[in-house]
Amino acid sequence: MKTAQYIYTSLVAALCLSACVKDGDIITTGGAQPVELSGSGDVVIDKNEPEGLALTLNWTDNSNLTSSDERVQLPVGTTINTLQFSATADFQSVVEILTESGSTSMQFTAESLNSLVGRVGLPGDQASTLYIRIRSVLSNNTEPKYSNIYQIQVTPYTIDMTIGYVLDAGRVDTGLTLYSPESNGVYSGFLGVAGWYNWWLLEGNGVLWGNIGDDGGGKPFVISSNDQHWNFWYPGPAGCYYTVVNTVRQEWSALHIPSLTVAGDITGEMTYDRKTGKWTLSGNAASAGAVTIRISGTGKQYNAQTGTDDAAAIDTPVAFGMEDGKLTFGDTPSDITVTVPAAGDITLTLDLNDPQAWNCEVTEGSETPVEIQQILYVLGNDDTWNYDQYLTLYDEENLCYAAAVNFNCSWGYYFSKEYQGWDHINQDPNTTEWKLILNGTDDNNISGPGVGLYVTIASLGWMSYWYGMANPITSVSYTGFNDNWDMVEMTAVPGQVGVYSAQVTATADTPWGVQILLNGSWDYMFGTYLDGSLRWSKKQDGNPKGWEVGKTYTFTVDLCKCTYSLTE
Amino acid sequence: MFKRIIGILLPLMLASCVQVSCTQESPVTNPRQQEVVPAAPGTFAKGADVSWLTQMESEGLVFNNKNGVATECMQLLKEDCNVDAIRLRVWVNPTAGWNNADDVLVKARRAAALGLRVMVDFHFSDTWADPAHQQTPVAWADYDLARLKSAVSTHVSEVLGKLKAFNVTPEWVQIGNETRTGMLWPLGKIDNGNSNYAELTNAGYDAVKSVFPEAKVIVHLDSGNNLNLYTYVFDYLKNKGGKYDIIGMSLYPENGKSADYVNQCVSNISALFTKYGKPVIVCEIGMDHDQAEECRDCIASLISKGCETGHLEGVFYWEPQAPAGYNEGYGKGCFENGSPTVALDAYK
Repeated sequence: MKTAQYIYTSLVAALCLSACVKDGDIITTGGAQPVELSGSGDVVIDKNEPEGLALTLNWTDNSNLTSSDERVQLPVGTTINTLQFSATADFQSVVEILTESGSTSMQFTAESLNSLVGRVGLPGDQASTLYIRIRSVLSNNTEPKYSNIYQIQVTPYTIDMTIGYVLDAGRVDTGLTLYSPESNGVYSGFLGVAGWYNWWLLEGNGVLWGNIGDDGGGKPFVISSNDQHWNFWYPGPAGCYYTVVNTVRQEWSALHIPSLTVAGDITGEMTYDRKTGKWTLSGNAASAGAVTIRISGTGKQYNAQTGTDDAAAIDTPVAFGMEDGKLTFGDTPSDITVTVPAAGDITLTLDLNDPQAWNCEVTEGSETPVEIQQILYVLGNDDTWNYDQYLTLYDEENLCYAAAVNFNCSWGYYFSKEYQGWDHINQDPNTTEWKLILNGTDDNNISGPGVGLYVTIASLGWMSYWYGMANPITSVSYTGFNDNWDMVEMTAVPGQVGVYSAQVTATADTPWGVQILLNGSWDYMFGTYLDGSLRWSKKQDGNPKGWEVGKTYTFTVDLCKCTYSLTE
Repeated sequence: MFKRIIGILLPLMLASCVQVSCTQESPVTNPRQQEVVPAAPGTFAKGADVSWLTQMESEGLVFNNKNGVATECMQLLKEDCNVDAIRLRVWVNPTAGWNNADDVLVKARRAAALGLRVMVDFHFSDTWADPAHQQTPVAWADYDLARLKSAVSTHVSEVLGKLKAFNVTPEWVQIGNETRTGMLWPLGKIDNGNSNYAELTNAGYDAVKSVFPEAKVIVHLDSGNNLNLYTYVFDYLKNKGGKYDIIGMSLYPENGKSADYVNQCVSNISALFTKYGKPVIVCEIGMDHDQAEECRDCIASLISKGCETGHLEGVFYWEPQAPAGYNEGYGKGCFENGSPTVALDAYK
């Protein structure tokens, strides 16, 4: 009887429990539902109305999920809808646009649609079928649902594919261009750049090219236009680069030209001014008239094989010539005929700015471009006057220099441009503001901010000076290694003012560079550059110099010299 | 005996406990799927015409709510300004595309998704239609009256059909915009002396009712403070058998004279109802953007006094989100730096 009671008890409990599991505990959702896609129909894109509305797409709302238990409320807007555009009905190659959560429409102006279908691959000036659908998923690991395929005839206007626009790191047009005379996706031209200059190339059809980013760290000279790509960056040496971006082979190259020699009726070494993109040579002409010259040199070729390694860069002859009155560029020089306007001082100018029309001419007068100096010396900050302390250029446009400077001065301090030139750049006596004057005297020395290590900044563009922080540096941290943005305290190296170190193990890439934070603040920082230097308030994306995953380093920064090192 | 009772009770208690746990509500996730409660049809409309919105968005304009957070404009108007209805103009085949049927559909769907009521404003032109401009669409330029009426009917049906396909039901449909001199010139001019304008209006009216029988059809004129304009047109429609449900007005008071405009407009509302038996909606109102306080008081006064007549059914601010100087100089919006001024506080 007892056994029967226990069996009875267990049966009832089991029945109740099994009923419970079936009824309520397992709740399922129908998942992302496919949408019904429609639109405004065929389009002949009007070049004259670039901002006009060209295409409207509408789709049904699938943002509300369904649940197997109506008592359970599900979150809203979790469905991810991605518009896919293709030139073929099988959608083998697509251009995708992620739609905003919960949105049910998207509109395209003439300009944006033309750019889009250009990327899709529709030819200009003829009607072609554009296939559109929407891919819907709840998350990346769920099976996608596809809408109906909406197809329309689109007639894009022909885009000028002869020009590649150079954008800066912030994707702002620099006004510089590369040229593809045959519109074949191979763009070339000369660019004057700072070392490690970051840039993008934008084609006329809206495709943006940069270094490939698939490996998580960016790869120099291998290019990509997908969503994961990085910007391009040049190697360390600043100056003139003959740059070729080959979008077909998906690579680019940079031929650095450190110098050019002129031979013939005019002789000498040319000087390059990367601000103007011109090479110049000043001299004296005995008489006016046509003269013949040759221009050549030896460059360093960087490409996908060499990367940005200066030692691996390939010595490559470079030369200019002339054909049918137009300048040519190659590896063998030929005669260039220029006209000297008058006897006396002359300047030979090789203007490489316009990739469609390089120009070589002789003008009257002498022009010598001023090279931008990379450091600005500080003297007297610690009562020594020996040119061993300096600020480092961080803003070329405004000639701003910065570094940590150790102050303990009795007679004030001054800046100096030239090593042991003893030129005084110090307080402008005509104002109480922190303004600088060239050719000052010891009487105008700048009073130190106090005793200690101060971030000191001077701008020869604005002719002013200031301090990066009101207080001296009391603590230094780093952040950003291994893409980890926790602040890690560094230790002052005894006997070396401004030098701090810490141990760091490379477990992953450091894609966005490293910040050296001062006094525990995110507002005051030096950033790593790929060449082993630090820059005040700036940093360069990418692994710091020497970074290799799997190694453990002593990371040392010198805030006075603006350098860093990774030592195993 | 005790053991026997326990032996029976125990399973019953256990089953009871399990049942209790079964019937308990499962946890609710956040954010919840919420049903948008639409503004009640037939109530007084506090509206805004935002026909420029998608174009503005494509130009990069951003709108900020009262907390300075970038917010979709219609949502902002609803949440911060109490707007409960949206008016959208539609052009037949505009050169630049904006305000065509598909563009209207996008805005109407967004409005409806927010629970806002929709008024569709047919201009029957490829561009602006107003007292001085009622240019027939290029594609209809050489149509005779019969084809023109057919084109009106087809156009209305197609546009409204698009809305219907996406479950957007407009509460009001305006046939013609500021048609004090008729529409679809030259055939639809009132001073032709024929019934063309009335027949064209009726073509639109019938098309509206065929798609949305409950929608109210508006005939809309400018200068709501000028009774003569209204009696001229509505006498004409009365004589020619023109059909409409509501009289629409524009009212753009001059600075410093808004009280006079309001008083005259309210007087006209009463007079028009007395004469034609139709209520009024002020389909467009606006004042200079730098007169926000006077504008607020003007709208508040119009709503208050208009409602006292019992015949004012709504007010729509025209393109409130337009920054000063937009579209080559329009200056009667009521947003500054992407946020509403106090002008729309009149809706609160």
